Amino acid sequence: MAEAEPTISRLLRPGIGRHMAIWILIFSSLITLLITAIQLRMDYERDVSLIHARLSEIRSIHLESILNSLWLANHDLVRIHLEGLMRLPDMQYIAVDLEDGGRIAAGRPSEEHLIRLEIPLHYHYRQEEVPLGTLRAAATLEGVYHRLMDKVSVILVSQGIKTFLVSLFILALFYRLVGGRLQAFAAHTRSLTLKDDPLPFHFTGRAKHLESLDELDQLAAAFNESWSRQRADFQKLRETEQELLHLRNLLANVIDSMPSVLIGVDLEGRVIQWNRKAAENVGLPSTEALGRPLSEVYPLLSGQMERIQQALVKRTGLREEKIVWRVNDEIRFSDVTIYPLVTNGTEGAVIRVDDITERVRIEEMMIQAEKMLSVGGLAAGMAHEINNPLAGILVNVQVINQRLMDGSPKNRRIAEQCGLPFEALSRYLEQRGVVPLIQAVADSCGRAARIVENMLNFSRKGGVDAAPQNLAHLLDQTLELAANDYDLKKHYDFRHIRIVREYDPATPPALCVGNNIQQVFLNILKNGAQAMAHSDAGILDPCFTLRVRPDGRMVRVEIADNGPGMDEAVRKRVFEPFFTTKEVGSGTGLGLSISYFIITENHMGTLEVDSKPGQGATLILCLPMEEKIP
Amino acid sequence: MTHSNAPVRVLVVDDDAVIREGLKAFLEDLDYEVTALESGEAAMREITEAPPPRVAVIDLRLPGMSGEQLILALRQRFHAAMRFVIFTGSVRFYPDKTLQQIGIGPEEVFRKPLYDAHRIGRKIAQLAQLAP
Repeated sequence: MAEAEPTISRLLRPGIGRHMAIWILIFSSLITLLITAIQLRMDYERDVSLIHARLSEIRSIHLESILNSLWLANHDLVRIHLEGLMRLPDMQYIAVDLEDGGRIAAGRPSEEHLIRLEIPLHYHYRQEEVPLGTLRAAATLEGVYHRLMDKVSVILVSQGIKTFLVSLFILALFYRLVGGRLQAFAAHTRSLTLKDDPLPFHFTGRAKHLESLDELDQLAAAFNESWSRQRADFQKLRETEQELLHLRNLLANVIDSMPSVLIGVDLEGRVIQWNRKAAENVGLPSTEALGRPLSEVYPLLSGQMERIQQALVKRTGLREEKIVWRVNDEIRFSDVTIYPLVTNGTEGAVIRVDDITERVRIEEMMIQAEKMLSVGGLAAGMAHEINNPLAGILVNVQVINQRLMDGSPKNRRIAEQCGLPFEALSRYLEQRGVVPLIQAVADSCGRAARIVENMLNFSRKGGVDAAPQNLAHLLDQTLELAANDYDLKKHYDFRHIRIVREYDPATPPALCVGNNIQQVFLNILKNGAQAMAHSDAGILDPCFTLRVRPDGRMVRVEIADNGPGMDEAVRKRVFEPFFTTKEVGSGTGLGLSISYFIITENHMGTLEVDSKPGQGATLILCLPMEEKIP
Repeated sequence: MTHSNAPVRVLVVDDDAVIREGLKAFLEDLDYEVTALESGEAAMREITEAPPPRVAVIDLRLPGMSGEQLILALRQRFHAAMRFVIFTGSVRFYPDKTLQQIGIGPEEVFRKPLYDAHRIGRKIAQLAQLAP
């Protein structure tokens, strides 16, 4: 506030004080005027009666001597007398009109503001009334008027000054007692904000005793009280608001953190809620999706509008499971649930979309695994029965082989005895191609045996055979084995593949069945080698990078090739039984699924593949470490 | 193959005649003298005199007494004079402690079918040299 403002101008500013002063001025002036008028009237009447008294004095006191002078005809004396009378205040004119028409006069005759007196002059002579003439006198009111005028100006000036001073005094008093304090109060009120916690307001320089508090102090006290109450209310309101905001953020967060797509729509199918997952799936931020028709921003759901209406009418949630969608040439599965929104007057629905593709695939794989497991169980029961006849065939095939082709003395001797030289027999067998035929029998038996063996791997085994194994050693042994593998040699030469070893020497042993893990390694190496050998691009420098290192409580083995890699669709199915990318007959389609089974089911480990087209493939295998017995 | 001119004797016990006779023929071609029997009971009945066959090839799943029982019984009868090879169709068999103590480890176990019968032949030759 402008504290430096001059006092007068501060006083004269429009305000209660000025209004009061003006009204006091007006009222006081009116009263003054009224009183002055009454007083003037009284003064006038007193002056007029004074004049009348003077005139009647002429009759009672001076008439006798004038009559005597007239009787004596001493006109000069009458004149002197009249002039003496003229000296009385307010006398305008006095004259004696004689009977003979003569006139003795003093003063000026005038027609205005006069009080007239006429007395017939009769001289009492010997019981006889003798008329001598008429006395005429006139007193003027001019003097009265002058006096009154003087009085009026004095009264007006003095009353005016008094009224003005009183007004000014009232103004100052008002400012001192009320105005200034009100302004201070206004300034205080204006400076208040709900955020700060101000001290309670007190007028400065005021006694704090209760009995001495005036109305303004009471007002300030009431204001302070009311303010603190309002502030408390506001604080509460603000806390509520904060809580509400917090809750809203929390809710938004919860909705955004949901792994499901959550979309709210109104009755017209316009989007009113769009969570992060929805934004991710469609690639449209919520700011752009809100308010637009659902079918426009999420075309896959456009078929659901009818069901949304249905859900709203029935007021129950509707759920449709395993809806098949084709996204970018890939089949995906989703569950779509529609919940009607019927509370709080918000009409609409929430649509929840869960991508269950992974789950469906896993389920399918588990079903396959279960199937394989029952195959494994069956195979275990049958294995002995099948292996025995196979063993019979194989042993006997080898005896036949030995007896037909081994040029042992015994064979030669018996051949000679039969009249067939051994050399002739050999030539015959060769020319008739018997040897490969026998070999074919052996090979077929071998294949049958391997099929049984493979199927046996699908049966669950206890950990009885598990032992601590150094996986790096096991991997190296497998590499040696792979180099000599009969099957492998048919397709490619393992010696041409460069091997890079990155083994962490601090890797502890893993608990596993050595043979099984070797078989897994072999499967993986075989697949990788085949992929590199059969790549259309032709890998110039086929290379395996082998890594073994500890990974938490697991031992991690990575087998990376620099082959053609695989796309996402193949990558996801690579462990499925009977899934193969090779031409029919070149593999059983079981290799990697057996490996997966062995690692996950029998060893409580994990097996995954990391690959992108053109960037090779890395099989990542984790097996639990050997638990130290405390 | 042997120290003396006398052929090394081998016992084959298998209830499957085709395997039994096939193995017998195979081993005979390798100049072993083979006794082939169809059960444990038959073996216990027939093989009584010392010295016993140097090496016995035993099937595990046999009618009557099992292959393991037979091995332990023969071991009791002839001690270290007889060595054993297990030839089994059981895919999960793994020699236990008792068998390992008498010299039957994983190396002495062959699973049916055997793609290369010479492996069993080589093992018999190796064991024959160990026996006193």
